[in-house]
Amino acid sequence: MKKKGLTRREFMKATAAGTAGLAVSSLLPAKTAIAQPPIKMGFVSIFSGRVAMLGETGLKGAQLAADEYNAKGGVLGRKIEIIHRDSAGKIEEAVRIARDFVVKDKVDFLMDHSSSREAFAVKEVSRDLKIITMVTASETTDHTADPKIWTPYSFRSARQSIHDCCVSGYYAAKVSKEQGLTRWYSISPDYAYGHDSTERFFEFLQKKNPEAKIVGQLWPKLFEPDYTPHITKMLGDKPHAFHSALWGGDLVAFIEQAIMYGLFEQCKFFSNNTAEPPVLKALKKIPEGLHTGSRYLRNVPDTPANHDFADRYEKKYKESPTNWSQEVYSGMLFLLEGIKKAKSLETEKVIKAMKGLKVKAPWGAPDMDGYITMRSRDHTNIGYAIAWGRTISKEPYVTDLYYLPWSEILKEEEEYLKKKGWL
Amino acid sequence: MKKTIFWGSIIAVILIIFPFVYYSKFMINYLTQILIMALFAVSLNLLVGYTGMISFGHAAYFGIGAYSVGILLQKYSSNLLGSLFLAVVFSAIAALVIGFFCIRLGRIYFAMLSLAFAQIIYTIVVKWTGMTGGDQGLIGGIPKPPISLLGLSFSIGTPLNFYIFTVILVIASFVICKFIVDSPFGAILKTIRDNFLRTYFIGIPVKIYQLVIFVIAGTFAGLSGALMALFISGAYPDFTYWTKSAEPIFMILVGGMGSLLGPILGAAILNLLTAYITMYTHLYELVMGTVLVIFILSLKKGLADYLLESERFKRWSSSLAKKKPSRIGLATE
Amino acid sequence: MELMKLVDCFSSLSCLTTQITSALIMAMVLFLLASGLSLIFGVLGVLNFAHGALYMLGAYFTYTLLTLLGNFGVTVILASIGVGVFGVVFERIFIKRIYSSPLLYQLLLCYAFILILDDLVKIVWGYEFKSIGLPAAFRRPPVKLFGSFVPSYYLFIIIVGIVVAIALWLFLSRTKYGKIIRATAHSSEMVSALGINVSLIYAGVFAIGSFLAGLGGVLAGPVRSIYPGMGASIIIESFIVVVVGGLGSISGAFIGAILIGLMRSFGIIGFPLIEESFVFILMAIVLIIRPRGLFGKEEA
Repeated sequence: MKKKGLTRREFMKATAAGTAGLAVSSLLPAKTAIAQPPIKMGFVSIFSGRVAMLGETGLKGAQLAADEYNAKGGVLGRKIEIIHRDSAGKIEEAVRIARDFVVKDKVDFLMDHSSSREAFAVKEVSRDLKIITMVTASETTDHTADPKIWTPYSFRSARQSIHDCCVSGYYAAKVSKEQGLTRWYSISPDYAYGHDSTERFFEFLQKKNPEAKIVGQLWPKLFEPDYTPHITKMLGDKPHAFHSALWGGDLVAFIEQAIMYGLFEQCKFFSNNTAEPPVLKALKKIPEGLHTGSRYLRNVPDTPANHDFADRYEKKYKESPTNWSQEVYSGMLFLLEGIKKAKSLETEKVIKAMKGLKVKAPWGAPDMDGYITMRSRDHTNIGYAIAWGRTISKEPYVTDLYYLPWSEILKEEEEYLKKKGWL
Repeated sequence: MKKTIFWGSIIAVILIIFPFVYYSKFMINYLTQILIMALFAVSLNLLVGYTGMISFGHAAYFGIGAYSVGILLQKYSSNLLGSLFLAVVFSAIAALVIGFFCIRLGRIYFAMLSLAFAQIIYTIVVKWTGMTGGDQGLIGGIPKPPISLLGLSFSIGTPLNFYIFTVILVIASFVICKFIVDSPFGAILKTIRDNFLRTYFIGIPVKIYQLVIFVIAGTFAGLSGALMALFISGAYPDFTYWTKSAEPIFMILVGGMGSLLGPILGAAILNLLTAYITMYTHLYELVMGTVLVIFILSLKKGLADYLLESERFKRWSSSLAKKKPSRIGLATE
Repeated sequence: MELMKLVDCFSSLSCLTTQITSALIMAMVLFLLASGLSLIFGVLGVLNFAHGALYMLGAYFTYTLLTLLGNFGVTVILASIGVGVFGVVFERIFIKRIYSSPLLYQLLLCYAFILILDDLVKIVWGYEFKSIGLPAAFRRPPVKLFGSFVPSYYLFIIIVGIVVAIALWLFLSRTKYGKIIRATAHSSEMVSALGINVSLIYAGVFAIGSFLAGLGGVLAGPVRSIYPGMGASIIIESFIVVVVGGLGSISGAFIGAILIGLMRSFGIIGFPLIEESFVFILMAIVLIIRPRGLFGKEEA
């Protein structure tokens, strides 16, 4: 005769099965009833041609940050997704891509990793479409400092040339006093960045060492392949030292050509951009004793956090991080932490959360306790480590590091902005 | 003539109504950009396709138009139509001056001199930082004050309104260009293209015709440049660089140089290709280059030319006109 | 303007030497490219806009071969020949088909090729800029000449440039093949009527032109930065040299290149700020006053 209802054995089996099921399902990734859409970021940059490195290494920085956050469950329970497109350096393309990102792909945020010229045009898109844009490559001070073009939707995580120039000027003043370098030359690319950095550098140099005199300035066009006539002119005028804002491939070509003329033995070289991994990698033999700033170096600052970042990046991509990777990574930190703080993706809330936001970054300056800050007043990054030093031919490639306290840098910046009438 | 105005109006009306039927911000932006570039390409084709004058420096007028409207609206004026008009006038003047020197030369040298002048204009634009913003261009946005006409106010500040404004100006320009090429003046241009010496020998002042069409082409290029500057709210030195001069040349080559439709088609195709290629790969150059190579080697002429010159089309169009099929000869409009 | 400095330089032998050698270096590289361009245009009637891309290939080939072989002399020869071969293949497969097409389509094809090559090079060698570094044989102190110092490698470039110029001139004017090539430039129908395979001549000329462009890249490579798209940095100036010297004229290319080199090197002293636009102004002046250039033929 069949018994009605559950036997004890059946009941126990059912309970066991149910408990096992619950236990197993608790180990599975939590799946909410409605899948959370990812946080979409639209990344526009240059991935082809001469400055393909800009986009490629910048994207790697973004991807690293996204992967690290996603591994911890994303932000607000949502994964981060990056869509990236190549503007090929054409301004209308950068604008079109930025617009399409917002209008067609419906991204939540724009990562504007385009060159400083395109960035001005993309800024108009941010203003027009009211989309939060993280500017990660443009170092031109005007971008956040000029009130006439400022917009609350635009945030800059890239370094600013005024900060770099302040440190470079102070350092050069110190060295020039020590070594009696009074006759100065400059060779910088003939465009806004080249002019601005050189002008600021000399301003700060001469402020701290009035003995320094400019005896000549050269402005080869950007991407000029041949610096021989410039080098020979400099040799003829015999300066004690010279400054250069040349960067990347241009700097490599210049150094190779200058070595042949023995220029560095005759004149001391000061350049912001020598100690960058791509430049160091390209130069077969790194001349010693060149004075250089740091863009990204794993020993600036020489902290475990920074070395760890470089290791993580190298492990994933088999190459060293560049300044661009770092700037984009900072941008991601600001944005994602801002979203976390705002507990929302709403534009106004995120803007409010990012104003004055402090995040711990591998390259936070030693005197800022390792924090970088998104300044509330103008939405730009401050507190990143900047150091100058002398090159040596083996790791870590730069030695005798000199830092300037950020209190000093900010003071000089304020003075500069007041002079310009922007503050 | 009436036919052209009729068709022009129909097309303009369709384009304007389109976004009301199917509203897509993406399409509006996209169409605006294509229309502006199509105008640029059509203006160049007046020279290349109709008169046989290959200019590599057409970007000079595009740039002058762009910078003029930008500088005027940023610093000196709040009259949108007035600034636009002046910008176009400045381009025309530049075309007159440069054209005067260039037309004295034959084909290849004409092309090179037009390039040289465009590069000189580029250098001026880049160096004259006080006026043009130097290599950074006009930043900070170009204000778009509303147009007041007959008591009504129309603002081109929204994408939709700007699109409508562009449609009206560009289609009107196309209609004017069609008049020019279909007129007796246009017929002479074509004979200059086909046989320069013979035209000269029948007593026609060839150089004057060339100068006139050069100025007209420069004027429309200036208009397209001004519209582009308003569209992206800025003007940049790239607008005068030789790579910008190359863009309409590609559009004409791909779309076809024998008609006004050709450059319009070329503009649409190239813009579409660029948009789609960049969506899927960073190897834009490889894909675009390959597409162009396949295209050149297979068609050996522009798409519109290929279609319009094909036997099928000729039979179809003459059967429409109820005429006997014409002998195989030059493709007429 | 620093005209006084310019005058000072003219009165100093060492400054003159420095600036003239500096001019000659730029000139030799430009000459190698311009001569190939002129030759190809003169004989085939094709404006090979892709010449800069061939220069780029020469540089990249050198980068790889020098690392593999270590011997610079062998590298120069192999790399240049490699580019020459590549050029012939390019001509046979692609250029040949558009001889009858309008000039503009030829330019478009060449431009399409620049795009393709730029990306291919990026795929094969990577997107970072590279540096070859001075070949071991030239890592020595600069040579003292008339009171100034000239790097030995630059002397090498100047010598190679002059040797190539003389060899090219001798080849075209004294040898049978040279005469055939010049005849083909003048009238390909006549040459073909004489039973000579014009198509082969075209291939040969394109090979020579590409070889020269590749050689330019090989020589310039060690002292310049190598990156995808580096052809763009030299193609416009090469065209200007061809225009100034005269389309189709090798001696014109030589003189034109030296002229441009001197303009740049002395221009930097006297007019440091506007020196860049000089070449375009020169081109405009030449085109207005004497459109066929210094040694070019009268226009048909």
